[in-house]
Amino acid sequence: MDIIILFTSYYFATKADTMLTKELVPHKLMATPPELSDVCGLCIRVHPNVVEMVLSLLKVHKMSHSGIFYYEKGIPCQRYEA
Amino acid sequence: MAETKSKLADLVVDVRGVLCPIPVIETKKVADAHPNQSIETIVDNEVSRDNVKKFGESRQYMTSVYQVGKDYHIVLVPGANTVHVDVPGITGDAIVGMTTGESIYNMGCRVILMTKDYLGEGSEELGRTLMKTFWLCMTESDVKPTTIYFINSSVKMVINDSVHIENLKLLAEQGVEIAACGICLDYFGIKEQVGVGSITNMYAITDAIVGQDLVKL
Repeated sequence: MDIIILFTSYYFATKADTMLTKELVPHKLMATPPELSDVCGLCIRVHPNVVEMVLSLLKVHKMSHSGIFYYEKGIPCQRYEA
Repeated sequence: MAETKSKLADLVVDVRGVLCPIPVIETKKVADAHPNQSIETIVDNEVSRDNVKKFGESRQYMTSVYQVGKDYHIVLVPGANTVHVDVPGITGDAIVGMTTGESIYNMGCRVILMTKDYLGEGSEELGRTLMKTFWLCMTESDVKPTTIYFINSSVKMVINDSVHIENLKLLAEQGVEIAACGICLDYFGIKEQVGVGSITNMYAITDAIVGQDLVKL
């Protein structure tokens, strides 16, 4: 089960994607899945092993997110608690 | 679609007169709602017959196909080792095929023609972001296209350095045929860098345009 980090806007999601790519952190930029929202948006998907590092990097680069969830296709998402 | 019991299965999905991919979608709805029950899907064309059969196999059903006149009856039985084939009332039939469940993806009827390396118009930057998410969604989709052709700048997506290469390789592993135009690869000087699929020609692409259910992106 992976972790999804939601963003409030396209700008923040793509900025995070660029930053994580530069930092060589494995991740995927993806459309917000229907299990989380009916609204089309972007989010970052990462393995649970790197989520804390990703959150640290987002903080360092002053990028805010709008929620973190466990994600598996077809299953209702649970909020991730650090 | 009405669900009724038949001699062959617990539930019947009669999708005669409906074109692909509706038969697969309707069968999938019934399978999702009734995972432990056998399903008989009735179609009237070979493309739908084959796609429903592939869907059943991808879901590990024991599948069998019967022909009744011009119609095809695809019977999907969950978790079965044998399928009863002696059915009174079905005459002059041939068992077209019986297979055990295999882990293969459900191939739809669509061919996709990619014409550039970004999606939509108005903003190329946005289009490139959309393209990333599009390929990821495609790898996770229950129904795949049979083939994806790449022409013009879209051929840049099939080379080893492409940000899309992993998703495209995954699609190829899932049974999607990936083919990039040789003229276009040559034009961009990247023919030697193709990392997924095959190199095709304009004849194959033209045949697809005039003869298949094609979506241009």
